[in-house]
Amino acid sequence: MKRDHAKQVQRDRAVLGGLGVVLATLAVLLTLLHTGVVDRIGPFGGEGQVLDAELRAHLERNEMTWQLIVFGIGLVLVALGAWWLRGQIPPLPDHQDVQLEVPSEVPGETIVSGRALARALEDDLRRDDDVADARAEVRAADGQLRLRLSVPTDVDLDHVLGEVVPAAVDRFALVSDLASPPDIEVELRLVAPTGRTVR
Amino acid sequence: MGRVLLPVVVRIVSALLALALIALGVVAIAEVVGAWLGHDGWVLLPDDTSERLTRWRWDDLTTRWLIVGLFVTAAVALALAIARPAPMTVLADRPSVRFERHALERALADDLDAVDGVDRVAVRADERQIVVRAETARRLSAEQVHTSVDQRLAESLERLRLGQPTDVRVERTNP
Repeated sequence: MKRDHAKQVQRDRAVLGGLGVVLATLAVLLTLLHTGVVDRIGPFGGEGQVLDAELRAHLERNEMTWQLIVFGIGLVLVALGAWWLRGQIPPLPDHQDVQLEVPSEVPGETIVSGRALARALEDDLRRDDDVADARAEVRAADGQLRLRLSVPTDVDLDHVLGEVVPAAVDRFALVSDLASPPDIEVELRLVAPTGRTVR
Repeated sequence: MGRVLLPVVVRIVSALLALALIALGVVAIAEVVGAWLGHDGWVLLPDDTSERLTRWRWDDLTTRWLIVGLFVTAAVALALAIARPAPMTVLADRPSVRFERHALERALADDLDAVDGVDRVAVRADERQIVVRAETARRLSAEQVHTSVDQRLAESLERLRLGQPTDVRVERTNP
């Protein structure tokens, strides 16, 4: 759904901001060393070399400490990079299965796949002439239902949102054996009456 | 166009920087683990890395290019973090109902394009406002076209139950 995409863009912008500040700080420190405004920053920078004798001696004296620091930084970079990269993959609908209380002599549980319920709800909504297409994300355990409906521009939205959707959701709640009606979020996509996007 | 493309650019730059972070992290981990396992020399970096670092001076041209690269990357990252992208959806005046922004803008533009006297029209919608820029080349006065566009827009927004304030401007162009 578009709202998930918008949240991901917000996360990306937050990470980009943090990374931008870190890189800008590094660039400023390097500029200070490059222009000779400062001679050294901690053990770095003496004698105008990146790796001078003093730094080499310092690294040899504290070899394990620096190895642990570099190893830790490496782990953080890999973890952050993997998390960030994973976020670039478009999210798939996160359906939740529903466990039904069915009296039966056969031992075991009756579980209906959230994907199957979503497909059934989508088909139910598409049966109405005013709905060109429907996508559903069923999060029954959280009591949430997210719908993405494509509707022609000339359609009566009061009919779709006031009659078609509530009726389909009522049937969905009945089949899913939900204790209370789910919270519904609807995302509307206006399409040309022919079924294609306008223009 | 920029605010529409921004989410795409953010995604591409994010993916590239994420790959760069992973590559840096893998190199760091590999070199440290290599040292712990008693590997002689560097694992992934070139064999002459130590000599290069010893020869490398802070006032070298390489350092200058590194600084330029860091500043450019930081500037791009900060610019993308600060820039305001177009929203993906626009909230309607109904509880928990949103419109997909791009489709809404196109639907409204298509509707207004049919108004008598309108030759070109562009619509921008977000949570705060709906902005319409129309052009007319007819001999009708811009005010007449403005009134017609305003009326049609109000009807469309009423039908869609969108309550954002509108900003409509009509310009006359040469036929």
